[in-house]
Amino acid sequence: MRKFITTIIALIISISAVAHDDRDHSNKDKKAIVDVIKSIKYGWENGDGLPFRRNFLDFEGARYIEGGGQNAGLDSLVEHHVEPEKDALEYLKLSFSEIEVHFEGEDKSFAWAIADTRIKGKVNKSGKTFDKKGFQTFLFRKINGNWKVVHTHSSSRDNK
Amino acid sequence: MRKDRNKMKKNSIILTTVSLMFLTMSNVVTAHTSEGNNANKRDELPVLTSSAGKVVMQFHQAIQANDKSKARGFLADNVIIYEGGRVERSADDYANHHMLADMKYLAQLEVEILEHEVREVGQTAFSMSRTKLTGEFKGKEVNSEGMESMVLLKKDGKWKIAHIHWSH
Amino acid sequence: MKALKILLILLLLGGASAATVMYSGIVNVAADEPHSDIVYWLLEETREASIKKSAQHIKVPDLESPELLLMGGADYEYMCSSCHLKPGLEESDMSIGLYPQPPNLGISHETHQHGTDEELARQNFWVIKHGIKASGMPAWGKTHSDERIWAMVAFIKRLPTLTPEQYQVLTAID
Repeated sequence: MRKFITTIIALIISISAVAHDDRDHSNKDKKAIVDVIKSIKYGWENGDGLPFRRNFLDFEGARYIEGGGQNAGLDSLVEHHVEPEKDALEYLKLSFSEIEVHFEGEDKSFAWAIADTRIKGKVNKSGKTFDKKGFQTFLFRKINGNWKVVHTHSSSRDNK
Repeated sequence: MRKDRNKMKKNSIILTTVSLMFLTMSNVVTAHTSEGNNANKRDELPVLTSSAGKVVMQFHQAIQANDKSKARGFLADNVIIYEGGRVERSADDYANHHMLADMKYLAQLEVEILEHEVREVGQTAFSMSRTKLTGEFKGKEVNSEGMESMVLLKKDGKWKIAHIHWSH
Repeated sequence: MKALKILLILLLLGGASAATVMYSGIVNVAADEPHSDIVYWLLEETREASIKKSAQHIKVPDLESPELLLMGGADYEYMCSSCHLKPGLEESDMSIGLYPQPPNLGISHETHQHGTDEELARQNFWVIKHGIKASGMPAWGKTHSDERIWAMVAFIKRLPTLTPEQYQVLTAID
């Protein structure tokens, strides 16, 4: 009887340890993804291409969609979109909220994240300000232990 | 008299040769033209021959064909859809509301796929496409480009759409 | 008058010879014994010329739409593949047993027709719709709409380019 109870307790402890470990793993990955999203926010706000080059997977066929347009490839995104905004805008404030991360695949090496967005800024040339709200989709793949962005899609409209 | 006959013979040979040349050229032009008509058409085969891509195409077809139950069948029950500044958080939510409006809209328009890529990674897939919409809706001319991103998940051997982000 | 008599005699002799050949049973109709080369050539040329003429005014629609490929794929698998084969399948009981042997539509060199893509499409449509007498090729037009037949034409056009895996995805009925 004692042996039986000991076995059951050992089983419960080991299952809890695995579950806890799994949750830890998932929390670590979620934090890693949220950190990537934060660095993307920094990149946009400062016209700095480095967070993109560090955290995006560069491959043929990569597409980054914004509204009705897109950048084809990481170079196009950084050189024709992110970096030019540093001079084009007086300021840009971007916030991601209500971030949801979903892990998929047997080895949980694919993730998709969605978030609400709020974008405020001022254009240097015209002096016009804008205030938009919308949504963002990120797709990630885990490559050599690091989460890399493989696709983004954002859409927004004037905040009324 | 002989000179005239020789001249006539020479002229008819020239005429026949030139006619044959034009006939040949026109056939070649026609052949090339008919090839040219299809030269700019997008080849959908790479998308259609991936099982996730086929599901995306069939979903699009069901929407355009006003087939509500078929379209709903391709969506995961808890699909999250971003469209027009709104979010729908279930297939039933979308099917009973915005899907009907989308179907009505698309039924009036010509839809051309400009770009479509689908990548399968094990039991997950993502699809990106760009379409051109032309035509008339409620008396107004439509000529716009739409962007779509999708996440698909394979469960029990079937691909289901788990997330859609539409924008234009 | 004399000429008429000679003609009548010749016609009677011709009729009698034909009847003798027909009812004697000496004509071999076994599908597992091929025609002689000359007879085969005569039948082939007659068939090709007939199809070409019958199909010449058929208007070919756009065959590139994905809807057509999906519809045609499913029908091809169900109605055609047992005789005309598919990527990865080199022979079947039907393809071996039928005479003339149905062309293997899964490999491009077997589509022995000559002409532009449009001519081929026109002729394929006609053959699928009307069938071919005494060949085993049914007239699918009796049970299938023109739209479904065009879908099969569209699919057949792409068939030689498909791998077995691509074929399986495209023709699967969900």
